[in-house]
Amino acid sequence: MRKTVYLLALFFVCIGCADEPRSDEQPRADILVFAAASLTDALEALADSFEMAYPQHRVVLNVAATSLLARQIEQGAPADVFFSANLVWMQRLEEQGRINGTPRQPLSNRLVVVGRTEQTPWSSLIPLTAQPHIALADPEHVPAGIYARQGLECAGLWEEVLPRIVPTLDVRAALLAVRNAAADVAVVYASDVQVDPNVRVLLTWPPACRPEIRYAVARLSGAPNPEGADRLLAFATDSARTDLWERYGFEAR
Amino acid sequence: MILSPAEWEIVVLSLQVAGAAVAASLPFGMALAYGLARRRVPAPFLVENLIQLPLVLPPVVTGLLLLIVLGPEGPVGRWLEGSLGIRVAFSGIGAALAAAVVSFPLMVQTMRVAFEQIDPEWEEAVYVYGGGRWAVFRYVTLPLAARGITAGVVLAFARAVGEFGATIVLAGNIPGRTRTIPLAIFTRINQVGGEAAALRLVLIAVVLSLLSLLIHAVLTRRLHRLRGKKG
Repeated sequence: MRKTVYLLALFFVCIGCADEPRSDEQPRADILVFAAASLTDALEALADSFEMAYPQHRVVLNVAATSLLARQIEQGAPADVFFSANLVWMQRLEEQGRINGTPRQPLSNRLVVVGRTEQTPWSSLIPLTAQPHIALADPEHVPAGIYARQGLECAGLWEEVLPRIVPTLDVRAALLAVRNAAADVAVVYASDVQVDPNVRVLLTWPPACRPEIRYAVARLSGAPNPEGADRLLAFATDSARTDLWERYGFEAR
Repeated sequence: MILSPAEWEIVVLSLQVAGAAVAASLPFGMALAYGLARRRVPAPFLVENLIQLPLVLPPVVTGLLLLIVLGPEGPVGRWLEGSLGIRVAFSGIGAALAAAVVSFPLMVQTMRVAFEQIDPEWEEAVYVYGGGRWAVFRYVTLPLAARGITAGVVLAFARAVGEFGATIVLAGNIPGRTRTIPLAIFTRINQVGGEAAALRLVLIAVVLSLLSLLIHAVLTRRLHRLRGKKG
């Protein structure tokens, strides 16, 4: 028993002191990017091609909800670039002097209606009123749900659709509801279904009532690596990146 | 199950962060647990409730409070960075600290029970025979409480490995630096087609937790048996 205790103690001391998970002195200059979680896949691809073009830089991603990232930046997080899924948070940081220059809005997203693969595509939003269960990120407070509500109100369908809605925690949960046959269709972002073989896009939201879903990106005024940040921003907003963004379901503007 | 190099990195980082958290809080945890068990702590009611606070607070709140105090512009964070060059927020140190704060109540509570089992007269006997404080600790307190101390360490370690809320707020979700198993699971869930990768990490988390709980159960059972003999 005593041996076990000593061994355990030794184990903790060892992994404790061997710790110091990498010092901050990197041979290459890090660019710390705070990004909305919905951009994870696209930004990992962007980081790869950026590092190919500028081997002296390394892109370090911190992904979480836009609101949490904004709170961290308010507390002085040492980030270089902020990708916000939402213009309101970016504006708030701008008012607090945390943003360098004017934020750009290089990306937008679209709403789509998805169903299971055996369903046939639609030509308008009208079939939505005939679905028993529509999965939708909670329209009370989740951005995707709020956008869908705006779009449906504009089309004059909200009242009819409302009793059929199954509110979900977020867009991911709405998508899962369709995959698991818990709902007949779901309203989600185009960027969420791009490579999912288990669902089918039945309808891309008609342009007449399409809510504006824009992403904002900016260099932070306290950026430890302003040069790298500017370089990454120029790279991300370059028209040569249009293909990359579209591959992940975003629209480059 | 075969892990990819990236997954190994996540597992190793998680163990390092949790290990550092437990190793750093162990001396404080032991001292406080002993003080509380022997009623030698001033204002014990206040101290005890302060220690227990992270157990009942949502971890996100704990993380936010830590970020406000220890963030780059927080009062303590600025001082640490200015005078000692230590950056807590958004670093491995921050991840370890968040895990330490959240797992601290479990450590103290378990060790305290172990210390309370020791009859103070046994400790006093050492003084009678001319031993000092260190002798008391080394030859009576430590051996008698060893299992309870280890159980506290293991339980705190298990909680530290699973820490999410306070970590993502204070330390961020930075790969190779602060992205531990729970944060990696969160990231994978947010990726299209990341379900399988998330599930693998979930399995690792379950195995690690079960192992820790098993060790804890074995240690506490022996503790109970010991107590039975004593009575």
